[in-house]
Amino acid sequence: MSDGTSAATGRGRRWRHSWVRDGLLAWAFFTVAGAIAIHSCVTLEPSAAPPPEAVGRAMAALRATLEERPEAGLGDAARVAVPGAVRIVLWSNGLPVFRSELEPRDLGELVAQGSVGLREARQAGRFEGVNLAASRLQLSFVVAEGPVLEWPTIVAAFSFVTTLDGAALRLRDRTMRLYPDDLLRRHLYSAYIPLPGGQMKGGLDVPAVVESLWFAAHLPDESWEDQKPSLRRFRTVEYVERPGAEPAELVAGRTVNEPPRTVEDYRRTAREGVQWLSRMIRSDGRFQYDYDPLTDGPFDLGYSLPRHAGAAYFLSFAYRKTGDPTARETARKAIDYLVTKELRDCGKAPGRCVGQGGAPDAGSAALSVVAMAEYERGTNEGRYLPQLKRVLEYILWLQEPNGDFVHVYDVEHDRRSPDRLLYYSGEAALALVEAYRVLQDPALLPRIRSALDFLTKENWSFFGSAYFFGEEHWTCIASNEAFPEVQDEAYLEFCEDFAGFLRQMQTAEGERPYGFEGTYLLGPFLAPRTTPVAGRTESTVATYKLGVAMGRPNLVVLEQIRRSLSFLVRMQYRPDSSPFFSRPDLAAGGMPGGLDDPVVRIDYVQHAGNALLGGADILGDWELGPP
Amino acid sequence: MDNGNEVSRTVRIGLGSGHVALGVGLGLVLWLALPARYLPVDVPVALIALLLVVSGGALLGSVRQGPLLMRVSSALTLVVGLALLTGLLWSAVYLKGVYGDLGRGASAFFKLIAFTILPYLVIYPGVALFVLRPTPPAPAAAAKEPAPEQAE
Repeated sequence: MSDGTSAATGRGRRWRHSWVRDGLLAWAFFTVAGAIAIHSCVTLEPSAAPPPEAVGRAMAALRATLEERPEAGLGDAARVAVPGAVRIVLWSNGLPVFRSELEPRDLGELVAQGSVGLREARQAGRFEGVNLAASRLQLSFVVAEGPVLEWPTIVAAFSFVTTLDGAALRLRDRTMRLYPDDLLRRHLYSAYIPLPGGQMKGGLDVPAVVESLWFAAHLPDESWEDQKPSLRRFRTVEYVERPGAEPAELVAGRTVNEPPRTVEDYRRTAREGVQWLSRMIRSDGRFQYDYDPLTDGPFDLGYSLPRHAGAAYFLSFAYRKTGDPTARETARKAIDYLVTKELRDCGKAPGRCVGQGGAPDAGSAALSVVAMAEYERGTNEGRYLPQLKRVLEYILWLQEPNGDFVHVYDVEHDRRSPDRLLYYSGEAALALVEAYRVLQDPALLPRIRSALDFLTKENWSFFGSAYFFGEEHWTCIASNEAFPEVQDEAYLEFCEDFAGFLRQMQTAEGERPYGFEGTYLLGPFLAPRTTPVAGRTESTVATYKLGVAMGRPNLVVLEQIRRSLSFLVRMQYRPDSSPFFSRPDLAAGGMPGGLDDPVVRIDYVQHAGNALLGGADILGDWELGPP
Repeated sequence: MDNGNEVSRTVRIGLGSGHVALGVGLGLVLWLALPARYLPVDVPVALIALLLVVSGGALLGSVRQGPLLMRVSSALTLVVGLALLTGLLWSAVYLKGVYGDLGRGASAFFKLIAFTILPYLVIYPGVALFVLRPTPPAPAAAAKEPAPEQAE
């Protein structure tokens, strides 16, 4: 017994003195202390920027100098402290015609120093030919700055919050800065690492940023080491002049609209989208596919027929919901284009398919049917019924015995391709449902049931399917539209599960770093995008409607819809959304791709418009903002 | 001579095959799961995987130095596991500092990685080190040596 006790005591002592225990304690201390140090070093604590009223007075004083009028007094605003560096930019026709970076202590000093610069620029003739009345002053206040990890480059690339953080290169005797709008206009955000899927990139293009900053410093390359450069990020608060009003705050180089107050705001936003599309349609019925307000021209020279048909679907839907004659006229032009230029015989396949080339896809045909049917539902003209029936024949021929659809048909080799493409099965299911709504052909009902059964049961029943979903918005729209003729508890359950999965990614108001409610973000590394929000909201709207129809309205889904529609309304371009746009009138009504993507594409407007009009059916003013 | 390397058959088979499986698993992660070849990661991971397989094989084959090799490979794996946990925590803290919030997706990702590392690269090698700790000297040998208190 005493031997055992002695041995145990010996082991205990060895443990107390062992290197394992000491090592683990050292590791824990090192890890926790390091974490605390990293957090305190990296976190930005923004100082307060001057309030808009005071900034407005400073802008008025600078404007007076610019136009050689007697300078307006700043009054108390002169003594308002400025937290750090300030940049003054004068924008004209989307280009900066004056830029100055200052380090004033207060607004009085800012106006004094800025006025000197403006006078010198005027005397140098730099404002000749500039329409000063249409120009806009922008003030950017640096409110926080901090270090970032510079190596490895991929870490540095994700050390800047997209669209919110500027990049600075601190040198021995000065600091060079690229402000958030500089980075946005030069496409340096979301530009470093290709993301899975290949269509998008993530992270700041740090090598290009450092090169730009160093180049702007006008220093010889040999002095790089002597300058001891360090890369930093900084946060700004930015204001732009608004004629006759207080300055507007800019976020990611643009103003963000007020959240909607009434359901009419949804409808107005959707109607603005109709107007935008009506400006984008050309005489031959094709749309200008997209519009880049930074260059006042197209961005992508490609074209997508499914997206063309989708835009026509939205316009037809907008006419049915609002009676807007512009929507009807533009929809007719767009569908006429499909019917006259894109419909064709498809080898041995029955009916008619849509699109040129040897492998027409199911998506173009499906959304063409959806657009034609929706037009018919709104107008009862019977204009496209013959063509609709022929394309429907083709889609029915593409349907497999299990309810799914062939996505690509190889005409030349008469081969049903096994290739799978995103969205197409759901779009084909919706095409059958929409066709049923106008043709009332009972033979379509079993085909619709078969398609929906496949999409909501067989297609999403595998090990791990409980943890994630694909993009199912077309499936849920079809499930709702098919009610009551084709219904199943499983359809609602599937769509509510999908909505629940999306809710886990949905942001709340004020959630960092972007602060917008209603966006769908997997993480903070990518800036919020509008189309995923819009497409998914089409789905949640359909899910809520289906729940109501089946006697189980889900108020959580309703709130989920409200949040996302709020984001869409806030993101739409208005006639004066950004001083960087040379033709803001052409951007107005458009829906940008996201905070980091100012380009407007036809399908961005389509999905947002459909979601907003769908939401206007089910949300009341009370839900938007109870008093 | 008692060198503290005596292990039971159960331990030999259990930990020996565990080390071989862990080594092979690490190798598979390296060559199949990681999308790019990057020497600062590839070389250390490959060496640890090799050491795990060799030490596991040595223990299974009752090689005399097998337990010693097992202790070395377990300690090394534990150090790597703890370093990875530190790296993960620091990365999460850094990104939280930069972005203000990691978001649900990124948080889930970090938790998933941490809880994947924990059993294989921290708990298992820790348990192996404990099981394979040198045994106290046999009573006969102990009688010939001074007691620990006297030695101090």
